[in-house]
Amino acid sequence: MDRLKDNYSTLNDLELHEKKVSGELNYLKEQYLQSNYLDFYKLYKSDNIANAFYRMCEIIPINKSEDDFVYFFDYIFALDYIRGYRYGNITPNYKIILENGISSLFYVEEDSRFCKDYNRILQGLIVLSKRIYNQTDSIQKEWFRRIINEPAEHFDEALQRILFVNQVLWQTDHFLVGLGSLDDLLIKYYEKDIKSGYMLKNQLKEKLKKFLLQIHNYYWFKSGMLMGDTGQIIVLGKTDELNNYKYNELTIMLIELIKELQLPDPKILLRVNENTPNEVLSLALDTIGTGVGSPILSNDKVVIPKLIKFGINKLDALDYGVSACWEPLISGKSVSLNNMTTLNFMRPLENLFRREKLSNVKSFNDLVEKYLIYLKRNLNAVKRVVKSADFQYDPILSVFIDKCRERKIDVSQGGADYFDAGITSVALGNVVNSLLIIKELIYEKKLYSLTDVKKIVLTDYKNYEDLEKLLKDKKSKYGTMDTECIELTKKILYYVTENTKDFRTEYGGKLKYGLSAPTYIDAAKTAFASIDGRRYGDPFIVHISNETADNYMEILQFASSLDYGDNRFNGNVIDIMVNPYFIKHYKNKLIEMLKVGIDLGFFQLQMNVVSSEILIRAKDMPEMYPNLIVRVWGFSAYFNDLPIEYKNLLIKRAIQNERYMS
Amino acid sequence: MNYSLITNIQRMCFSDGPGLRTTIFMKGCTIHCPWCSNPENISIHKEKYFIKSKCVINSNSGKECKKCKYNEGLCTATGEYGYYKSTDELVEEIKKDKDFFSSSGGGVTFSGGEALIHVDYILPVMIKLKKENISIGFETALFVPLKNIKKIIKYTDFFYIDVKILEKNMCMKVLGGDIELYFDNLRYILKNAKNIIFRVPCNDEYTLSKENVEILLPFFKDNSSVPIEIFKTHNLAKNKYDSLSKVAMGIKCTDEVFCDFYSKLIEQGNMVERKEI
Repeated sequence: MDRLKDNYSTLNDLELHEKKVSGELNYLKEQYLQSNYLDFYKLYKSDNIANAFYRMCEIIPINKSEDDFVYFFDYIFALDYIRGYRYGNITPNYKIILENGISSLFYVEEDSRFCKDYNRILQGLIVLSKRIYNQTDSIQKEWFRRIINEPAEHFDEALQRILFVNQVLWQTDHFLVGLGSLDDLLIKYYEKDIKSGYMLKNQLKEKLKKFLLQIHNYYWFKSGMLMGDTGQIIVLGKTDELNNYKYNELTIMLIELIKELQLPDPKILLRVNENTPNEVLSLALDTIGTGVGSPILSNDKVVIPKLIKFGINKLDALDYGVSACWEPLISGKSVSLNNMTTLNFMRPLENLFRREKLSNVKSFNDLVEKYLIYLKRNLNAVKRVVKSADFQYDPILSVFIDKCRERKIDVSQGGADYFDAGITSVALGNVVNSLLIIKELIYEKKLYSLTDVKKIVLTDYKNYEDLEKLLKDKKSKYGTMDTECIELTKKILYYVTENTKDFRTEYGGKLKYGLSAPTYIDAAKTAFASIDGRRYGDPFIVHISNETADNYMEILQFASSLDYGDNRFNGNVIDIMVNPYFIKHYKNKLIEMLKVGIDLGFFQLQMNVVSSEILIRAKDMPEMYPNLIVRVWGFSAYFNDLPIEYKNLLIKRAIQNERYMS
Repeated sequence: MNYSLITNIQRMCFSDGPGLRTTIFMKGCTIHCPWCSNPENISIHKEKYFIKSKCVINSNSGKECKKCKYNEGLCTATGEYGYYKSTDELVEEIKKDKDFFSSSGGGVTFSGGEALIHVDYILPVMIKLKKENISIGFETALFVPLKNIKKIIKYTDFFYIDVKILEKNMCMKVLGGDIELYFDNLRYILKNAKNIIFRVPCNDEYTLSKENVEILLPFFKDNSSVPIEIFKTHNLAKNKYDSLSKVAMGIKCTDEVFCDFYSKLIEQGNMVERKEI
């Protein structure tokens, strides 16, 4: 157990998380290190990351628990001194440690700083392994003997190695560390062990269960700004070159275990295509129906071709994983940071109202063109943010990313195969709705002028409370098959592509974006009111969604009508609220609906299975619902752990969904 | 004036037939059930409505629109139940979900009110939909001329047939329906239709009264090959009644009576499913 937590043994995970986020833990940690481990502290503060890592491996207390696996994290010795833009939201190549002993990775000649540091990291890993070996018994001892010189042989040994790499990365300030395609990665060990009689199926399943429970450890530390946002995502299922759907016993087993364990973390992203068997979709819906918040579905039929068109190698594209929430990336080969910043589509509209001489706007088309001009300025700002990122030298990560070793180049200097930059986006739905409402109110019905609209949004509907109520009641066009809405949405999307497609990072990485973001609440907190009935500070529309819809088919059709080509594939999630009754009573029909949706071409889809009644009760009496899990942007979290604005938004969306769907 | 008015086109209906369906609610009914959950579909004519809760000027009092500046385009508190769509427009609307129908065995279900009043309007729609292999069903109380049924039965894949009050005098008194007409139509449908499901709206006071149950049980026993769905009537349509300045009777069904009826049907060998709202 984390020793720092021992010092705060009365604090729960949420409280510890708050102390981490506030910086208090970091301050205490530095005080402690200066007093007790000054030599390590000096290395920790230096640029000599490799030696700092080695020293950490020498002195970090080995926390050997009674569990099946060795997995520990010590905040005191976390190498979290920022040396530049840090790497996170990625998945390492676990195969490197599964198929090799550590010692086989050494450079014979240290002909560069990178090679020297790389070897030092490996030395650190060996030191740590030997220390664990000395303090463990039986099978764990054997694992940590073999990890130095031999590849993994058995399923449980492979799980231990994955945990070891995962632990090292969290310990060294990498965040949102993904787990990759575990079904694909582990199947050969699983099948071999069954065939040889090493273990029975149920024993292997038990090991996998223990593994998942271990991964869930240190939840408070692993969580980003919100509890639950750990990035510990397991990708399951895939499509082969012949468009067959590939899955195996581990695919089923992992979904079953997530359903059984009812933990918000780790979570699953299930890749699907038009040939995904009903058995798999049925199990996925059963799991989703428990309210555990996963799996999220990712449509290979759409995603893979877009990756290939972007320039991803075909075989890599077939093997795609995702970063923490949903953004496609090539696990083990990519250090593309998929969420470097958020494009807020509402800002240009605000700026237009604040700065533009509205008498110059002669028509609706004029208005749209002017909006795009302001959007371009925002895009330039986004590009500046991305360009300014100065990535920290990271030989630790370089050990676990393909090709860095071969090329002798650190990840920060372009050692990996893929190093694009991804951004997310918010408020497109609000902007599209707002523009169409302006068209209706001003240019068609001539009820108001642009100056009126400016006044309304800048004064937060002061003296226009009636209008606010009417607009709030208006059905959203975004998320429907309204032709005008789709055309306007596409126009804006293509414009973003046009103005970002030529962008390159220092090492030639391209910029990609998507229509989902974690920031639909935070980015909206300081956003002006919008003429779609949204008040100042109210959350933006969540991803691709429409809470005023009375059916799910239309949102599937809408999402399928959008073009995710060029650089528009960085996560495009349909987010729907579903009453538990629906899944329970209409599962087979939901499966049929999903299958059509996959064929039509939605990009990704996640469901929040909640009832407003339960959420309201849980908000008022949290002690009665300690294990209530909900879906928040791209992860699952305990409802009780969420800040109040997230709870309120979920309740509001659930009520709206139930009202319109009934 | 065309009286084939529609009040709602409800997509993603999961309980109005097989697969994923779109249900078309037609305006006009030949009976008047006290528990009706679609009061806007009883009259065949357009009807003005006023939804008090949506009125920004007058939400705390008043039962009718008092006209304000928002009437010219933004107001959703007033309007009319019932609108007309040409048959081509209706076909195009239904076909929006064709992809969802074909894989799920779904399609369109005509309901209301009493959709079988409007067969002259619906028939050309059905013919066009059949060319696209879209499944078609009807929900009906069967209090319509037999000739109406004969016109559309060839194109109909299934009927949901309401079974409510089967005693002649009570049927006329409570529903305003001619039970002989009902039975004539039923005999024809049982002989000629592809698929039938009985539906029983259950409430303590009328359909599951002791007297009516004594008639229902042998009726279902005689027609045991036809599956039955039973559901409780409810008061969820109160807002719609309010919008029409009508009074919702709030006729309910207790669990005890509902479960007892269900058990009796099971005991006598019927295929019966309990549906929840």
